[in-house]
Amino acid sequence: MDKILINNNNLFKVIIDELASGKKVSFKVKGNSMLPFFRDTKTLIELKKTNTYKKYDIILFKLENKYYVHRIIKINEDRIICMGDALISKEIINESNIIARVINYQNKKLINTNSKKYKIRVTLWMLLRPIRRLIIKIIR
Amino acid sequence: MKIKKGYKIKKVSDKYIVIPTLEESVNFSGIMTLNNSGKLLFEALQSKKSVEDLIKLLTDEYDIDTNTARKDINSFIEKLKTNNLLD
Repeated sequence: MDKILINNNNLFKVIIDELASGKKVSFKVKGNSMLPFFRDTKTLIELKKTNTYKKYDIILFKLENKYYVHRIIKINEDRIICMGDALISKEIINESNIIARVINYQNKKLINTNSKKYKIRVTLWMLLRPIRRLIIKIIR
Repeated sequence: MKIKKGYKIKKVSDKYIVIPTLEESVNFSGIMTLNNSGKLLFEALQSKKSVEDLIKLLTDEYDIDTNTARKDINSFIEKLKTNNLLD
């Protein structure tokens, strides 16, 4: 089957239309910015449009004409601070930038982002933030 | 033959993608893509067509001979079968 690039802005327009109509949408992630949870071209994520968001949700957002799937690490009133799990740079957005929320993902097993086990892993990963660059180097 | 109900075509850059409309979740990783002639055939197959109908359609629209058209159509039909899109 023909491969189609998911980091193509035109394709994202179609994806956003589907999300806006209430559909769930899934696609393979592009890039390793969400390691160790998501792997480039391997991890299939499923998203749904959302009106509520909370700390540690992984969200799809648009910022300066680019699309990101990163994690909310802090909410300061109307400022939402996001970061890739493998990165140390932040994006500062607000509610209007948010398109959808990741509800599950699949490497081998399907992981629901509401599951207890997943939440524990996220909490642990956030605690390791000061040394995350080192860990990512080892994982890669 | 005929294409199943519940699919729409959307243009993405210079290609078209086939989106299921009846499912509650759309997987964009395994999505079928079409070029211009694929789109033409896909739209024609919204109603029942024979291979001969499709050959006529392609040879009328494009500057190709019957054999080339037949080959293209056969591989297109295979693609539809693989994606389980035929009624």
